[in-house]
Amino acid sequence: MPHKIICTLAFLFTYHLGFSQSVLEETFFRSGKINVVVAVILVILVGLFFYLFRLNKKIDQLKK
Amino acid sequence: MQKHWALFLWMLKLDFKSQQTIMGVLVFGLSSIYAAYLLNGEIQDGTFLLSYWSIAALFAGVHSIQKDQFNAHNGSGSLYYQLTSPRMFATVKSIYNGLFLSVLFLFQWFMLLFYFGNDWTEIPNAFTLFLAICLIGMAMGISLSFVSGIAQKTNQPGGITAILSFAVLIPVLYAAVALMKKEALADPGQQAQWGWLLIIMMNLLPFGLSNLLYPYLWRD
Amino acid sequence: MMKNWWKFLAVILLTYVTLFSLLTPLVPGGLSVDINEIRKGNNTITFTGYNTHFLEDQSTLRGFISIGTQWIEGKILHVSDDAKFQFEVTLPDTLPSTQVAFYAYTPKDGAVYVSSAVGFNDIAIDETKKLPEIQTNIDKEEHQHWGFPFQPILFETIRNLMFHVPMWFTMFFLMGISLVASFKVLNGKWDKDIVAVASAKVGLVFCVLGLITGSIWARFTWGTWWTRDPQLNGAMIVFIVYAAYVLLRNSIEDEQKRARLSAVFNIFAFILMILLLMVMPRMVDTSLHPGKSGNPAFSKYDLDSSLRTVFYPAVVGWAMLGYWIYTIQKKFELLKQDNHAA
Repeated sequence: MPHKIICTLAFLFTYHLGFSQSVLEETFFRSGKINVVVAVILVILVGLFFYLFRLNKKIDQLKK
Repeated sequence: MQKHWALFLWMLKLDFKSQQTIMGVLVFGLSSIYAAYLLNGEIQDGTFLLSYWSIAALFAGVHSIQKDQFNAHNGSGSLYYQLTSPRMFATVKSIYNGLFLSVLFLFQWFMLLFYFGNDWTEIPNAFTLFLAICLIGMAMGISLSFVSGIAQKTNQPGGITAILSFAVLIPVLYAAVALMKKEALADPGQQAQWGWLLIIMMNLLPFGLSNLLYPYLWRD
Repeated sequence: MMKNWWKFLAVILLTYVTLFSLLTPLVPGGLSVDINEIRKGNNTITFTGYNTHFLEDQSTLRGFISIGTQWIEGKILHVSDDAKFQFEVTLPDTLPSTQVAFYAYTPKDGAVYVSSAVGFNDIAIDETKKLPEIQTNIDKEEHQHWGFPFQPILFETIRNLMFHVPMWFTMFFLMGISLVASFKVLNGKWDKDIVAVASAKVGLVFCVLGLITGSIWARFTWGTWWTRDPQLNGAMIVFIVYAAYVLLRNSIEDEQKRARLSAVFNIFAFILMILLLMVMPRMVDTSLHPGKSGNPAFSKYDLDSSLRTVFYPAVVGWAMLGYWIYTIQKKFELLKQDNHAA
């Protein structure tokens, strides 16, 4: 089972590389590149939330 | 000052007495350059050779610091820690390591010229090239002494030396390649002022900080 | 309640920043022209603008080509929508310069332009050539819109200024706290070690966020995820050095020894950070970053201060958020220490 997942992922990844350039550019160059801003904000939000949730979990564990 | 000099000579004697360590480092320096020649023959690409030189220098540097830790383990140095002040020991040790690596890097540089010829070089000023190599050696020696001073007091000195030395040596290598590109290849696209600044700072900063640190370290 | 007033202020500031950095429109600008070669005689040019009002101001719309410092006016053929129109320019066989830009002018949008490299067909260059003088009155950059400046290549991503850049300010702020605490540790105040490690860890988080957001921004403006920009490499080295600081701490058991050793390494890291991120990029002229190596800073474009009114609150707001997270991290470090001691 893990092999299958790895193979699928590897396939998807390499498949993705082939035309990823054009897809990426099409997505992010649309309407004045506004999606770049969206991506940046999402990265910051997800990053900070992930960090804070992990911290919270660790604090809870220590309190027990 | 006299005491400093005596300590310096004692370190030199210690290294020459245990011939295997100094020979080990020299053979290491030689074979690291020779390996590139053996594998790839007559390379004339200056950028590649400089990168290779700096990586070989990095390995030789780390190797020579491991030699240091061996000596410290053998206990041959512990007597001296008591006789001299830790600050003085830190100063002399850093300078000794720096000079040792400068000589080693010059040796490696001449080995590079010996095997690959000098058609790929274009040296605008031999003195500044010499100065650059010496400063790179000094910076690497001093920062590695700083790092191994810290690492010896941790639970896993080997692992921490590896991690910290990468953190400290990456700026040195970054400056080194820029300086060498300017001084050995006369690369017009390369700016070197920041390289000089960085390499000088990488000399002064760990030097000052290890002076600050060693008195604490040898308190126990 | 009163004790936590700054947390409310941080939330208010960041809400303001997020809203205004996303809602403020971009001022009108020129996006592209469909021509890459001009020739003697008639040239038909389709001009594409961004946030412009060509259709609305159809009656006052004018199209120009600027050649060096001189102008040639074109005849408007067809306005298809607010962002696109066609005009025709008749060029002589000799022009005074190779520097060509395409302008569209309406009183409301002001002058918007596209300057792209064009080829010349059948046209000679003579620098002494004088073109017939025309009344353009478009050398003014005036327009009646309030918004973020329109920059070629950047377009809407200029808004990232409020998100990417404050990450680094926050990192500097937190590392500064860490540095002060480290000095206190070396003066014998052991308990400050907690402050040093907590702020350095949170600073490292902001460093990572700054690296990732910068990489994304670079991909769609400079064209690669990573370049040999001194600012980028400096930031990466700073990340490695501070990560080494955290790793170093994890491998020393004795508390006092850990505090001292890591304090010294922290001072090293901070000075290196100042050197790599503040001093060096200014000494190199290959940096792509605005404000570095002779590139114009964003303040140059910010004629009506629209960027400033959002950017300064953004810096303060993000720094406050960083401080807030740092207080949580400090709580965690204290708990960990107590658990260890118990």
